Amino acid sequence: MFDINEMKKNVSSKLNKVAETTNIPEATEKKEKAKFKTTPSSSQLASIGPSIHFKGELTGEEGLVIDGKVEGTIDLKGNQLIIGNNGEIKADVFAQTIIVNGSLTGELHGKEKVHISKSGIVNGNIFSPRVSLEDGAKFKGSIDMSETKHERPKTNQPGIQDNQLKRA
Amino acid sequence: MLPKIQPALSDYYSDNAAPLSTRLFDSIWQNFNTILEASKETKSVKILDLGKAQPDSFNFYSEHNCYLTIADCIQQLTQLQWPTEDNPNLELNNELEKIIPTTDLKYDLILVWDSLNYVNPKILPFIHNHLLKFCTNKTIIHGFLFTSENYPALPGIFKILTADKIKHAVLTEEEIQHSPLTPIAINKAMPNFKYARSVLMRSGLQEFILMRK
Repeated sequence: MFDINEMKKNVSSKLNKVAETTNIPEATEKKEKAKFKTTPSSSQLASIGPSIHFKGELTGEEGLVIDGKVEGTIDLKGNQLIIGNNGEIKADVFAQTIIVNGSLTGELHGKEKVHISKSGIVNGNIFSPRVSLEDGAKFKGSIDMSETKHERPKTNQPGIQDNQLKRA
Repeated sequence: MLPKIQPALSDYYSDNAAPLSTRLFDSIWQNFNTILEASKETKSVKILDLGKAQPDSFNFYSEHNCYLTIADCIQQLTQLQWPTEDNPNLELNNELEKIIPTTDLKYDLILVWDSLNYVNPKILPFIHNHLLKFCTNKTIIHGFLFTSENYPALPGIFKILTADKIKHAVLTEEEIQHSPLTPIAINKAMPNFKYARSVLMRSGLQEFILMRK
């Protein structure tokens, strides 16, 4: 019996095999994207949408996708931060993994790794043991790959200090 | 006026963009290993690259625990003109400070890859003086330079593959004519460095190393 769905599956798996064995740029690109796929997937992460403009200190204990504008400090401790294509960040960022698809000005402290994709624009300093750039990524600044400075210093919390000063 | 460094970055650095010609060569860049060994026990190697960020090279630096600064300033340096003001020193020094802001950092290695050809030679001593602010007494300058009268109208790109292998890509067929610039001439403009080594390749590209005196 002829099953169109079964046939589609077969063709699709054969095409995938061909793509894997040959160096097709599209296949390579997909692999690269898979390599930096969010864990958990970006749809499961908290997100800041394109129309949101946030100023101040942003902290959290879960992964975050930012497609809006953020100015200040972002501290996600041991979690992942993804700057979406529309994201515009002017902040010092502390996270386990930082993936930049949009633009970021400030210091990036990635405990595990920092990745700048081909649409990413970074002006600032990166502190992370692993830093990767895709072809086309724009970067200007310094990169410290030694295993220090990836966590936010406890004594240097500008948000709290500012508040205390205002109260005083 | 020199042409702008184009095309777009994505084409500039992508292997898919098929640059006009690429060349893989054994490099005296292996000096990097010496620098690495010398500074390994005390600190990470500090590198100042005047060129653009090149993804392939990042893997190499990652493996060696480097502190890397990408100044991405070649285009700005090529656009520096000899000032018309009464005090060219002040104006040029101010311009250079804007292009490569001074910090407390001192670098072990400064990369000037295929950039000095495109800079006004009168400005070289000013670049030298400015770079001295980033040097220790052991800093090495590693560079590439076209010594022929004709050379590509745009700076090429370089990718570090291993400690002794670098890939060079030429991006344009268009050539410009210029008075030949040699590493010795550069060394004259940079008197605080001594000329250490140079290798001329068939393409007319010369690789050189200058060491701090």
